Amino acid sequence: MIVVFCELGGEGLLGKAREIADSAGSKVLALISEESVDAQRLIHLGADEVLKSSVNEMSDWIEIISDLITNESKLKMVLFPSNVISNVIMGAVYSHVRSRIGCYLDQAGLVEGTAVAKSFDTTGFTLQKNPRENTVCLVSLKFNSTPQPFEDTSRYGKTREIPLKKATDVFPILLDPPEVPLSSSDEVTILVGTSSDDHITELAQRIADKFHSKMQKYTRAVEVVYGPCVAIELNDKLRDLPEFKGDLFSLNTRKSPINAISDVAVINSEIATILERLI
Amino acid sequence: MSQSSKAALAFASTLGFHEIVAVGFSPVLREALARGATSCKSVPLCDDPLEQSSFFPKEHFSHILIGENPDWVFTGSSLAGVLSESRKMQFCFFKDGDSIDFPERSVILVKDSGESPSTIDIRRIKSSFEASVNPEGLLGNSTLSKREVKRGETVSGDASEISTILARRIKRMTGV
Repeated sequence: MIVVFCELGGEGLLGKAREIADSAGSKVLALISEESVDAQRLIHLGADEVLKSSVNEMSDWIEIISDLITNESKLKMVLFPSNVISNVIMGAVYSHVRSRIGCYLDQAGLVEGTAVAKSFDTTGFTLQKNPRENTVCLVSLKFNSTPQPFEDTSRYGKTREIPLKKATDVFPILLDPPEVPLSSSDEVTILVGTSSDDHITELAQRIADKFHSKMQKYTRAVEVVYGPCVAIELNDKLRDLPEFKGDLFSLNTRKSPINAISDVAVINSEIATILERLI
Repeated sequence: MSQSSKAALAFASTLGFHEIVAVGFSPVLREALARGATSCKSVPLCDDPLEQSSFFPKEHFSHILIGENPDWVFTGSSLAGVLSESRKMQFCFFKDGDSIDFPERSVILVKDSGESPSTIDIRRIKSSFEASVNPEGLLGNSTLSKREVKRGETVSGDASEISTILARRIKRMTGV
């Protein structure tokens, strides 16, 4: 049995969970709050059963997931979407029911039936952890490492309410403002070179707004970019560029040193037109 | 020292605490002292946040600040979750511009903007070298393997084709 934490964008992991469950002949349980997405949709996305709970705050999930881990003997894996709050909840669950957990990995890029793994682009190695028999694996999966699930309206399943037992000793998760913060490795950065004119900078800002990303004018103070980055007109020498830990897309009007380290390099004289079309 | 730990330490130095204890792997602790920690505690480097937390000093801390470390074996957010639960401390997230009015007994995850934090205080270098730092080992059972080398691609075509490719890639990254 695989439980998918479907809050905070976690419904996007149902396709992956379905794939693992089908190969192992097990079930997929989707976990959501009362006010959250339509339960029927989660069934169409691959859940066999949807568990709903009337949570009041994020920290309530720690008790709910811990209870599931303790009481469901067939449970093999709990999948979370990788973000700051999911990882905090996952870490707290790990601490709460430590004896049942046999494998823990956050920000994973790969989940298979027998192993979970994450890669480190800049150091060039992959770290793998193997679940132990009769234990539960806690994994948070990076949003862009799994394809979006296919919505099949002919799928059927059931929905069940699970009561919220108010724990007395669970700490609160305080968020101010109460929005879910993005991890630096999930945040897309639109990085604009110093030689770019005001028009390019304005376009970059509009693209960042459209895709809920961060626009940053490049200065030497930027040392690391953790998430995916679209670098526009960064013509500096390699030694002067920041360290790019995520995927890098470079757009330049002429061949530049950054092209050598880019995952996707675009060299085109019509940068402004490309950006306008993106908006 | 990781960029995120530098950011967390720089932030701790701005909060005005009398005592800042740097907890970490021994090779980075002298740098931590030079960056503003008043004392240090060396711990083994673990590949698991629960095991890592077991080496934390047991004494009472008003606040525990953790760097985001999104590029490490486990993230700072996982360690923050483990420590918050095991020590029954509230969890807070801090990013530039947020209020610094944190509740007593809280675990604070400090977002790493990737920008360079304040530099080493050269007046502290001498005392950092005089401090006693115990060497500690590495613990874990993860398997490491060399990853396939990624090859970059150069996209050519007209502006319309390129923007379509880029839009698809950005949508995939952001989910928007």
